[in-house]
Amino acid sequence: MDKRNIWVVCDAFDHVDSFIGQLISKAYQLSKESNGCVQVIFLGNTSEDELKRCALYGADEVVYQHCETKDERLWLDILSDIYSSIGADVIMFTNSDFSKTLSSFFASRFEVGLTADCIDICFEDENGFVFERAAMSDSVQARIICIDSQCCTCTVKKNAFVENVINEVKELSIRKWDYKGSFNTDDRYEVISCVKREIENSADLDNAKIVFGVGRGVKDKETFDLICQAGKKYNAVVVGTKCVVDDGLLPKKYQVGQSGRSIAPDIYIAFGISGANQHLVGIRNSRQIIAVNNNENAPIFNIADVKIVADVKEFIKEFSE
Amino acid sequence: MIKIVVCLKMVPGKLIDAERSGLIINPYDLFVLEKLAKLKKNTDISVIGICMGGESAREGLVRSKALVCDDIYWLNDIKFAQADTIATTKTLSAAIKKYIPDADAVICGGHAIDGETGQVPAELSEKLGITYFSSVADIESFGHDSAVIVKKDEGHEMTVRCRYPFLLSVDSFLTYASNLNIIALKRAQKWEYKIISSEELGIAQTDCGAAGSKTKVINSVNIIYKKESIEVGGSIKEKADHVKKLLQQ
Repeated sequence: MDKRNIWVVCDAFDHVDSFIGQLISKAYQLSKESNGCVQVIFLGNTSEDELKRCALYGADEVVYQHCETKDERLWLDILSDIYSSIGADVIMFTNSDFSKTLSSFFASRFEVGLTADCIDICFEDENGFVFERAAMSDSVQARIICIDSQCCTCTVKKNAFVENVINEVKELSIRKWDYKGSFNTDDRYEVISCVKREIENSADLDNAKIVFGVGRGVKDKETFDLICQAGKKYNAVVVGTKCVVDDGLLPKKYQVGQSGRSIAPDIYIAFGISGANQHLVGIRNSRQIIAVNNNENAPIFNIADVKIVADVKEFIKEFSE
Repeated sequence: MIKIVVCLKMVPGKLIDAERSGLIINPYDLFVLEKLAKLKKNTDISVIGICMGGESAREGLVRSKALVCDDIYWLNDIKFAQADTIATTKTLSAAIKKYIPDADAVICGGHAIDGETGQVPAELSEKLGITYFSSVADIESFGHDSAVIVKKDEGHEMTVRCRYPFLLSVDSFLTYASNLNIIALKRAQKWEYKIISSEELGIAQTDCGAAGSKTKVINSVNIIYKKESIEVGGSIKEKADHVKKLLQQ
């Protein structure tokens, strides 16, 4: 049987970033399970050395099309050209605004299944590729398959997968694509004015080795401030559960969970977090989870590596000294 | 007159407020309706709502009508049910092509709070073959051959003039309609809503609803795996010291 083509569409334009590394790592794992071939589709402008980095995460092939602009319609046409020629069984996109649009265009054009914001993908003999995403208004994950669809497409949530450098040396083939269509972009609009706005910088959270999480069990501002103080001391970023963010203790960008972000630090300390599923899906890739809670039956302890039954306020007073 | 189509979705009210029963207008769509109601006061626009939904969508449609809609197409047929984004897109595009082929603008809420995929607007623009603008924060004005919108993307806030026809995906929301006129509401209740079946629309059964969907939920699972944890005992000081040590490693 022919190998299955598993695509990762790179949207970083001029380099291979860690988000793409995460996707390639997952694609590599899926290729092992499904007898697949990992193909990175790289549109943009970069060097051959940079493209070679895809092999570190397990790519078999890079299809590279040089282009100077990052435009969804243009990329759709190039992607369609490549897809019509070599085909794909699975296509993985990041969930950046750009790739969300690109993947939707693609799914609509080819009428193929698209699952948004996946947090996991697996391959099963019985079902083929299965995509998991948050089921709204439920504390569980929906498992989704594509039916009657030429290929399966998905966008993936950042940090849902772990970036992993493989320990085998792979022969990477780089195929330079020669797109014959027009590189013109849409001129049906005109920008009247444009101001830079402060973007919510999340680099601190993506790269944080240590993260402190705050939940409803943190009942007063004094305890919260002590956690922040300790956070500074240990170079940890402080995040919160949905209810803490809803209460206004932390800005939305620091919300971790199903409706917030996913993180994967080396150490995550959960202060007064009961462990609702909505939060747990966002921290499940943490290397080590330490939970501090006064309720010894709190569900957070089910996934914690280190369990500390204690009053958060008393604990943090001692801890921040 | 500028013809504007607004795609409307009705979502469970309890997602906004635990006390609310029934369906309400998706907050992102509501923002669009309110914005258009304001613009309509001094611009010659006609607003046409289009909604895929069963009988429970009626109340939301009445409110949409009272707020701003001149006309509403209600795609109401059990065959439309259980549609994924591809089947939804096909149905909506078929309706727009059939009933409002001369639309100048199609406007969608950026996503629906009960699905959160945000895929339909982009998919629909592709199916209709019109220019797509995502991350639209505001609509400033509708002119003779173009409209002015404000777009906020990952690092910029842009004011853009876009030529018709186009599709906007609007990322601002409102949870409560502010200025609903009682007389308009009464009139809207009496209005006769056009119910469009799949047959009338002329869409094949295999192109809409569950049968036209390309994705299917097979089951739901809990993916949080239980771990064996080590419990740290002793005094508060001993517990705190243990964690401090772990952090220093």
